[in-house]
Amino acid sequence: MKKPSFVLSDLLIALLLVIITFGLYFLKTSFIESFEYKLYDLRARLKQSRHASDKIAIVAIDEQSIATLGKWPWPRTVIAKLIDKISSADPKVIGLNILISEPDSNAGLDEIRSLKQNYIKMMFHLQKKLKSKSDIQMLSDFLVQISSSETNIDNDTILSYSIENSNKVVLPMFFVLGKSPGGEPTEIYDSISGNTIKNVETISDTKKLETKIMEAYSPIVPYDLFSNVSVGVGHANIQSDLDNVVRREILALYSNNCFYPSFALQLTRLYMGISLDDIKISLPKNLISIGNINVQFTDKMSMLINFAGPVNTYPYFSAFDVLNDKIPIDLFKNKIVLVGFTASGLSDLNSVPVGNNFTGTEIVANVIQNILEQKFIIRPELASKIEIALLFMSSVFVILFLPRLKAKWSSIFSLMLLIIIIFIGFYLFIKSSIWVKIIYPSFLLIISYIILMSKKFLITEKRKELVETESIETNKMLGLSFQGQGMLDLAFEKFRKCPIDDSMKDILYNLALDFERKRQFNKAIAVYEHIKSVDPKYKDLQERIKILKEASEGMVLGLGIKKTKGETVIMDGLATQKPTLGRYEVIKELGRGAMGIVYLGKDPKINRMVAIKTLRFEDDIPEEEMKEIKQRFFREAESAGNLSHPNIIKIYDAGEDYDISYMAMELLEGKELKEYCDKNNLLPVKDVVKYIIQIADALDYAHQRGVVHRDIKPANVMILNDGTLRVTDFGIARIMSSSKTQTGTVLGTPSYMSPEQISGKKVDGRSDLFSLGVMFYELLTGEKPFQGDNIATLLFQISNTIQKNPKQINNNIPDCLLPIIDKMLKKNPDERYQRGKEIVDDLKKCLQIIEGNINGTVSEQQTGLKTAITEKRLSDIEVKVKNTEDTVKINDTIKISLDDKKEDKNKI
Amino acid sequence: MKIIAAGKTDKGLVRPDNEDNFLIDENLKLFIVADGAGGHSSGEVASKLAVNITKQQIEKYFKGEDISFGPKTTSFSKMTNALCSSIKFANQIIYEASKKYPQNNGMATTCVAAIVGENSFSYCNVGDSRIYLLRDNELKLLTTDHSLVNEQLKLGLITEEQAEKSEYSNILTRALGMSDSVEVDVNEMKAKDKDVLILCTDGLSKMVKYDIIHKTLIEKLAHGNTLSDICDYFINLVNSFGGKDNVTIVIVQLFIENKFSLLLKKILNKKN
Repeated sequence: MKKPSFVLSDLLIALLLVIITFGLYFLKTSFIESFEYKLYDLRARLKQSRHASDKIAIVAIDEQSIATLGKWPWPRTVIAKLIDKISSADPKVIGLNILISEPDSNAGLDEIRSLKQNYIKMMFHLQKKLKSKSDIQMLSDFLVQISSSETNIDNDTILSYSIENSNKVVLPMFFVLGKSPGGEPTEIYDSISGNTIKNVETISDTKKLETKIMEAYSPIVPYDLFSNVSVGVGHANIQSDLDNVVRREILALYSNNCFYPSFALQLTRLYMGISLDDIKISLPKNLISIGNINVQFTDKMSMLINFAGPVNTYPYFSAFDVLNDKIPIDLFKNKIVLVGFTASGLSDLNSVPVGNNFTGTEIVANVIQNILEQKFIIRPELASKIEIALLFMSSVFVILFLPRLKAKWSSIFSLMLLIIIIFIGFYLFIKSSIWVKIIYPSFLLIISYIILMSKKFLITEKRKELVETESIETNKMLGLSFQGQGMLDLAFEKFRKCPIDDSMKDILYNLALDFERKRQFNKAIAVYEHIKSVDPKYKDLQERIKILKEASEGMVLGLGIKKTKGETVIMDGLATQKPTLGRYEVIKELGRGAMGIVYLGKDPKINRMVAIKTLRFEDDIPEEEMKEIKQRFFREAESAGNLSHPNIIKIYDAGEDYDISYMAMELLEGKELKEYCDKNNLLPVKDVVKYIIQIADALDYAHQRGVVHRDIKPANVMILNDGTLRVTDFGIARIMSSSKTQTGTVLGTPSYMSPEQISGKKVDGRSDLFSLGVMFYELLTGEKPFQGDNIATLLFQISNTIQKNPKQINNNIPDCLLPIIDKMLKKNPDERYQRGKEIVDDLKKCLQIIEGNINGTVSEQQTGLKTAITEKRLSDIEVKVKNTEDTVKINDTIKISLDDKKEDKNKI
Repeated sequence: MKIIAAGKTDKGLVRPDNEDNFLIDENLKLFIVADGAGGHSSGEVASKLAVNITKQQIEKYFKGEDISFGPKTTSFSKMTNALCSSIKFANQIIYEASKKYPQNNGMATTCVAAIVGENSFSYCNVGDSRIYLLRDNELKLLTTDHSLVNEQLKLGLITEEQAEKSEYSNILTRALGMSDSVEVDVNEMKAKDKDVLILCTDGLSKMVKYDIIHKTLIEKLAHGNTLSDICDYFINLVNSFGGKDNVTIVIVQLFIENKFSLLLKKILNKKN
């Protein structure tokens, strides 16, 4: 009754978790997203191809260059030289990832400039006074000299010349990201006005627009001397995610109503030879087209970077080496050459999914490669659909299955589902470059599993505790009841199972007093000792133990023992007196059988150990009836005693003593066949068949002499330690059922009864053969052919239902056994085997086949034999296989010899 | 509710001992009949235990102690569950006692018990003792015998006549003390004024036919015989058929005093 409510509350918890997870999914909470980023990074790391595009080379201003060429900032002439060098290698485009926003402040240059100004003024004055042409020439030559010195030390001009000459240089600029606070001068944008993307398909919905674009303001632009001569300027802003890891590139920034392409985008388009006008932004489609390459971007015009590999995947060339011609010059030919910092302290180092310490320049390189090779990581609309589907799938599992499954299965299925989800996530990312967020379904699975399982665990633990306290209460209750009924031993046994608290001490103390009253001092002491183990100072415990010990020592031979003897009557009496039954010494009790106690006895005359079965119902049956029963008992003992068969237990003697009827019989040491009815302990088919043959033979023998067993079941067949077999309890069932009015032989389950037996008809040997069939079936399969939850269904099954094909249970059963079992289990005795011998014959034939099989004989022989059997059945003519015939003959001779012996006996 | 009750047991003419036991407790309104089985007079022990333990547990129940034992059936009242628990508990005691003491080995007992509440009664059964209800002059058997023969009969494997003669007629399919757990048939009913409950062992039900029990009850009650007389009559009747088995009968009559009549009584009493 309680279970559904648990399930219900589990269901509610699961439902709540599902709702929470969906909520988190749509709100994109940073907490969970950061976990997703971790998974993203893992996937990115697995995905990296470690193949750097050969179109990109990086010239690094590295430690070596700084060490040899002096501290940064370098004279701009050096940079100019560097550009010249690179340009001479004829690259496609140079990305100078160094922001030079201010003019070079050079004291010498200022001095020379003012000197030049003054000199020009002076020359202007002197011009009219000087007559000599050579003088004028000299003055103007000096001016030229000053001018050339000016240019020589005017690094900016030199650099701008280099840039202009190269006509390939792209420069970076930086914005402040975010919405402009307004009020900034717009002149600042003048120098970069030529670097905007004008071909934009925008959307009118401002709110939606805001999610799609990245706004920025206050650009820091290159010194206009340079920007004017460069081929392009692009923003080099790097935007990291919440966890400070750079995963995306903002392709264009929106500032002052214009879209400014990124540094990487500029380089790429120049490499492809496309003008800015041919770049098109489509905001509705989240698309930037660069010529024929389409780049899908996500929100804020950002593109997920597909990193090719860890740091230093791209070839780095030291600036110093480049300047000193240590690098083959044509290495840069037709390439994109990026110039940037790597020296520590100069470079901006970023964390990216595939590693840390990534320079901005290398990120740019990755972006360029992504665009050029069109290898993007994308989040198409499909991705969110897959996410919802995965989330839905785990929701269904969590709501419908998790609360119902057992701990083992729920963990297996949860794990499987988790693996499936993760696999999907990883597969799509690595193979199709689709980023699907898998953290939400995984989160749902894990959190639900943890919560539901721990809840289950807590509840079961609580229940266990409850059961424990319950069982303590029960034991206490049982103990008290036993004590009330005077069964003090049992009471103590129960109390022992309870923890000794204060109330328990009282109870135990009372029990000890009861023992004392019964003069069972030793037991009283035991109880007191039990209390003492917890509380040695309880009441007058110590004294009592002392007194009792003295008393019991003094009374060992007195009251104490005598009293107990008087209480537990028969067994003690028998045990101490070495009693006899008839001429047999009773040694000990072996067990309790259907009709009474079985004792181990000894025949003192021939010193033979025997088993003695006694009849139980001596004193509570009316005399007349008892007489009748006893008569029957002896009659049965006699007829059973007349059975002399190697597989039937031998009855030596029957008699009556002290009003106890008994039978002395062969002492069997071995196992009951019952033990082999367990599915895990089945005998090999061959052995089963051999045993059944022996039993059938024994039954045939008995039936021929008019003795019906009536209670054939595995418990009545013993396999002796020497491997031989005995059928026991012949005719006992009949003795047992003979006392009609007596209340009470309580029956086990009558699984082995034949249909005619349960319908109360007259029973003959064929009934035994049915029971044998049931046993056969059970020994082969480990299951009874007729089963029922209660007696009614069992009885119905026995009399009406056809048993299940045993092969369905145990596939190893040879086909030739099936018709035999069927025939043994026929409801109508007339359709059954009429004699045990017929079973023996059929089984022996089958045994040949089985053994043939084991020996590896060809199936031809099998089929031959099989047809022989069917033929036999069809025509009812006995077809005897030669071998079988022989064994039968041997058996017959044995029987004959046995019969002879019996006759001899009779004669004696 | 008011009750009157009477019970008798007799060992019959053939058996040396009486293995039956019964209980009439008008304070607890508890009635039990048990028929013991097993050699060495252990059947007597078993039936005695069944009666004593059940009574003891019900006493505890009325004292407010928790006596629940085994699973509960929530659809039944507390009292019914208490009765069922008590019987199951008794089974445990008998089973363990029979295991522990060799002389009691194999002892078992049938048990029918009824307990009367405010305006209903609960009853339960294990084995082949019976409870009949006489209501509006109709006699109804409330219990099902847990015997092999009865199972055979229910399945239509044998006829009534065959059942009476069956050699398996003494084989029980359920009894107290046979295993450490027992399935108890349990039920409860709304009481009606002048309901008569008859609890008996198979000594009566097997020897005296249903019709005769029915007829006799109606006749004797109509003639104003006391319940004790009726018990005596039945025992004599069984013994006159041979008295082959112990026989025990407990008869309980229920009187529901509705509030109105109670009030009337009070007023009348005052006037008097």
